Amino acid sequence: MTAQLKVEANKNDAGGMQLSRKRESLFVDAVRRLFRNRASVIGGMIILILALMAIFADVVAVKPYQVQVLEDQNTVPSWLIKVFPQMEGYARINEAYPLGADYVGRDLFSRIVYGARVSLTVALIGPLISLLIGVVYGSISGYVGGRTDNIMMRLVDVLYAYPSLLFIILLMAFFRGTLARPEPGTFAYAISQFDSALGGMLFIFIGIGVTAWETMARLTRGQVLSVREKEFVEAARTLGASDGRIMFRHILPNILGPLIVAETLAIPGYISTEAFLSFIGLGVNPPTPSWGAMISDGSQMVRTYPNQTIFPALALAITMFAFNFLGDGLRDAMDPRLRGTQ
Amino acid sequence: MSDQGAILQVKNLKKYFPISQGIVLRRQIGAVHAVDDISFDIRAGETLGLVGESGCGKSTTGRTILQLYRPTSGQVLFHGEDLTRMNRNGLRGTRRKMQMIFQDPYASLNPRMSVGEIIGEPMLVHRMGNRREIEARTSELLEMVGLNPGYVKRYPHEFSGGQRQRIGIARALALNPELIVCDEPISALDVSIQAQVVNLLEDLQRDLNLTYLFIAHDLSMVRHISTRVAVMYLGAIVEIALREDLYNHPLHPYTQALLSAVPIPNPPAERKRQRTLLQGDVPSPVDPPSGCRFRTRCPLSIDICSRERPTFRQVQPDHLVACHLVDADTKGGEPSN
Repeated sequence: MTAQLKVEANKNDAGGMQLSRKRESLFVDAVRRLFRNRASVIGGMIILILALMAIFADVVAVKPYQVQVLEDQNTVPSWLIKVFPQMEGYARINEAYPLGADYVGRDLFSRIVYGARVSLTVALIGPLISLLIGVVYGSISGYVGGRTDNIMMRLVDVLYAYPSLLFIILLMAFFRGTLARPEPGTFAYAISQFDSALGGMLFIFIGIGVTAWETMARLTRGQVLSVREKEFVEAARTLGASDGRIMFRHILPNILGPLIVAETLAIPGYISTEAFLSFIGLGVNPPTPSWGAMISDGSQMVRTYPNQTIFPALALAITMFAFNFLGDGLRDAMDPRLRGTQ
Repeated sequence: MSDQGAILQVKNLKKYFPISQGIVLRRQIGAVHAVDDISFDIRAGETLGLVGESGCGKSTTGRTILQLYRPTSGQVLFHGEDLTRMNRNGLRGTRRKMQMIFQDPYASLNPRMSVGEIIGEPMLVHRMGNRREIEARTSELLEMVGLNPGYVKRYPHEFSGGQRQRIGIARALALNPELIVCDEPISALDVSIQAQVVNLLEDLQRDLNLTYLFIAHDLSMVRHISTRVAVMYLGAIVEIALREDLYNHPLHPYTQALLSAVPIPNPPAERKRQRTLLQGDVPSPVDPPSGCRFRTRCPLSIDICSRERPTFRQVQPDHLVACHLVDADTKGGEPSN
């Protein structure tokens, strides 16, 4: 009976076009094309390895990150002498440290492994904050439109005009200054306790959060504006659908692609902001290892012991490249104009 | 205008789109007179064709009737109820009775929703039954528009233009509407598909007792499907008449010029066809001409045309014209001048 019905229906089929044999949703197609992109697969794999390394840092790292062995300070393993022959004359050799020890005798490799925790947490929390604030702000601005939109966007313009790094630096200096010795029991005390528990990362999140959402808000607003006028949104309005339904069922699913791509490509920026803040001493609290802080420490003696700067810098560069490659691949995969290629 | 059997009455409807200047200090510097004082009614069970050039306000009229655009002034009475005074909640109920079929079948379906979700959405929004009932009704609707009910899980990009338009029609039918505004439903389709979709619309009208406002610029297609035809020029309706009356005895000079542009599918007759070529371009709707809108291009324009806007009046039974040159006693054919 059903078979008969189908034949009947097929006969009535108008339009002529043979339906594609493979039934793929847009998502499946995007994932398939993402996996065909070698650079983004490599990027994704590097991120995966880094994430595993950060999670299982206690196992991967050969030594604890904070233990100082003063007699081992600035020692290097023998293979590094071959790479940097100028160290031959003065460097003390100690094979116990795979990448050498820093100026207070802490294992560089272990600190880089633990440092991945900070960078990847920033890579995770940064987009979360900026998506949360930026998408909500931008959606409201774009959907409501008119005067509301005008006021909301001018506010973003004003914030945007202020140099964001300078803003973060001022903010951090303010936080660290006022919250340095708070009275126990106050709100400031609770915040500073929470911050120290996170190794000083809370203020980095706040610093990134207060500036990163602006770009996202602008992008979201633009995307909402372009989709809002599409006929399928008008169709939903004709059906009597509520604003919430139109926003969540019709507009958001159609703008998610560009937002995800933009956010992935923004991650290297967050990582480098954290590294920069740690570099200038406003980032994580010592002895919590951060790549930026390590580069800063090592830069004091970049001529004599280049390994102390180069390895954390390499870790930072590889991580940023990995996110860039992944973001690039995501952009290609989610571009509807490239559907069916590759 | 007679009220008998009118399902929808449009009275002095105006829709101006403001043109503003400046981003921070916004001020209105003018308005596009997209729809400027039009009145007509649609009778139950008929198809009212609405024709005119691009940009003459056809689509705006359709959208303003459905309150997708809120009118600047005027009334839209659906079964005697004024839609322009209703708030969103009041409109929700009425929207079940009035639906729309869109022009672009590629833009009118949400690419992220499956066919089942698209057709089921109106029923979900209006809480018409549980999930099982909605699914059953969706299959029924798909069959009704000539698509395989097994397509519910597929996405719009898997379909051709004609099939997509059928999905759009099924969505419009889901709420059992009385009136459907068809906004150029076939102009984006291949010629071979156009006939199929028009036939489908006609079959559905007969089976479901639908009323259509059929917006189009294809004069032959409008002649085929319409009961009555309204001609629009620059935001105003210049002539409404029964189909044959309008096509055989157009009274307004613009209608005459428009109809003379239709090719005749018969070579000897086509060779003898005399075209009335209009001079110039359509004036800007930002600053429409005084008096009669058409006077700047009208071959017969006289003094009074620039001074007074012609009233839209009945000159013959079921034949309304807005032209100074048409007398009430004119028995079809040429305007007296």
